[in-house]
Amino acid sequence: MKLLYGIINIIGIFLACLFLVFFMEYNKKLEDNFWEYHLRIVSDKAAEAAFADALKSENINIDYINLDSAEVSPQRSLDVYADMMCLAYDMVPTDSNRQLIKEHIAVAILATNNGFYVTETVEVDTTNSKSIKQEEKEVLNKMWGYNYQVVPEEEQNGGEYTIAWGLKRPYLMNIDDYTYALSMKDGSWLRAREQVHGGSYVLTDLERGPTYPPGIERGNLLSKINADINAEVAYQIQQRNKVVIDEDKGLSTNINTYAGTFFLPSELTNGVNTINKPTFLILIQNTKFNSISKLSSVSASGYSIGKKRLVLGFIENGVRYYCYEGQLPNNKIGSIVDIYRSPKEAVINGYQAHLEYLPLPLN
Amino acid sequence: MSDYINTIISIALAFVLTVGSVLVFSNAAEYNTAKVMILNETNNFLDKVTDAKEFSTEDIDDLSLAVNSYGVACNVNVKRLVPITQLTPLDDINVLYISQPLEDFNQLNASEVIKVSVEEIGISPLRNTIYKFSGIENRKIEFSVPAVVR
Repeated sequence: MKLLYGIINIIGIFLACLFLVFFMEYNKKLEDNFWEYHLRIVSDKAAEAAFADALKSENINIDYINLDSAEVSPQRSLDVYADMMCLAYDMVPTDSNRQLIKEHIAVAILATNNGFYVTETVEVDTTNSKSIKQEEKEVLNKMWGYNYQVVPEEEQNGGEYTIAWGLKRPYLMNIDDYTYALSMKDGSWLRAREQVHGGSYVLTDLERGPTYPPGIERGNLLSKINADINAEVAYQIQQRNKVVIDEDKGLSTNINTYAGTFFLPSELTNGVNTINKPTFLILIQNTKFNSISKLSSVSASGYSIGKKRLVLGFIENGVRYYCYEGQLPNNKIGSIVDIYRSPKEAVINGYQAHLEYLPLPLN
Repeated sequence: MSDYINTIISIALAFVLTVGSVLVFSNAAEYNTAKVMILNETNNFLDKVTDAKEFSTEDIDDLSLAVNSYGVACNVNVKRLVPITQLTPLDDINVLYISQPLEDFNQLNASEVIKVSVEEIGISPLRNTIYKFSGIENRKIEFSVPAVVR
């Protein structure tokens, strides 16, 4: 009887230990889930800030009709993204902290009307500095007759790498041995013929055109743009996650070792994917700023421009009403008094909601 | 004698395996749900403020009430950060974020940053110790979310 009790108790204790281990795993999973969610929100907000910084209007006096002329330039947008991420994880936005954030960016894309930018790994510090490791090797060679290889002084670069916007790449299409560079907005093009002259390539027959050239339609162009960008994103992610072996340590020096293939499903959402207007897209991976363990997920955030619905203030039967643009019947357009950015502004200026027009569909 | 001890151990084990485990699991799930809800409330507040470009102390009070309504006592800290561009001695351009004191009614400009920090208060030392040594307890809630005014 005593023996039976003992056996049952041992089984019970074993089960209790098992439960403890299960629970710890479960708790860790919940925690990781929370931090993934937090990363998603924070990355979204940072991407929004970065895109807002990149958006610049082409001319100051914005024409109401010409809303498509939004100009995008990438100057500080990566820094803004890094700043926002620093603030999210309670770090001071200094250069070194920005660098830390940028190390985790897998790839960022900024698609503008006439070309797109992709982030590339570039060397920031190219000064010839003699690292301590090289000096050590020299001393060891001199004093003890070792045979370490010392890099010549002029080749000892700083070796500090960071991520930065590369050159702007045009949207290219080839038709009848002409190479077209096209604009996503209206299909205006610049074409050239590539010819070999004495062993080097020369561009001849430069021409411009205002709308889509014969043989290219908007659908063709957009599918080419999406395919190009997808391929570029996949390639850059592969490059970022390449395992680099440091010969001195025998270890991987690349912190990003996300193993897996990547593709942008073009028809998953109608938001950022299927790039057909100026778009910003950023992927951040392998973050470990706040969570206990490295988050294995990749967080993608994207923004693209859209038309803003303005609020019209108009007078009907002597009363001031407001509704959204597109809701007002055509015969009442003459009664518009003012245009506002939000219903709030209209209300402050003494307009009230027009209950008949406001539920109408926007078109 | 040993029969007696064995009985007590058996009863304790039976309790842990039937009642205790369920309680601990449900507690963890509840706590983590509260965590996510608090993050959602913070996100809602930031969306509202960045869209309206203004907020008053009442909005902050509403946020604290909403955050504290999930059974976890939390401290909410709202900061208004104004970006300032400076020239460094090496002729680089550096951007600093200066914290601006909040007033009763704050009118915000585009490209200013609103940062909300949430921190759980009233953590018992026992809970901290258990978390540190075994991980059976939850880590305290502490996160911040910044957003740029549109």
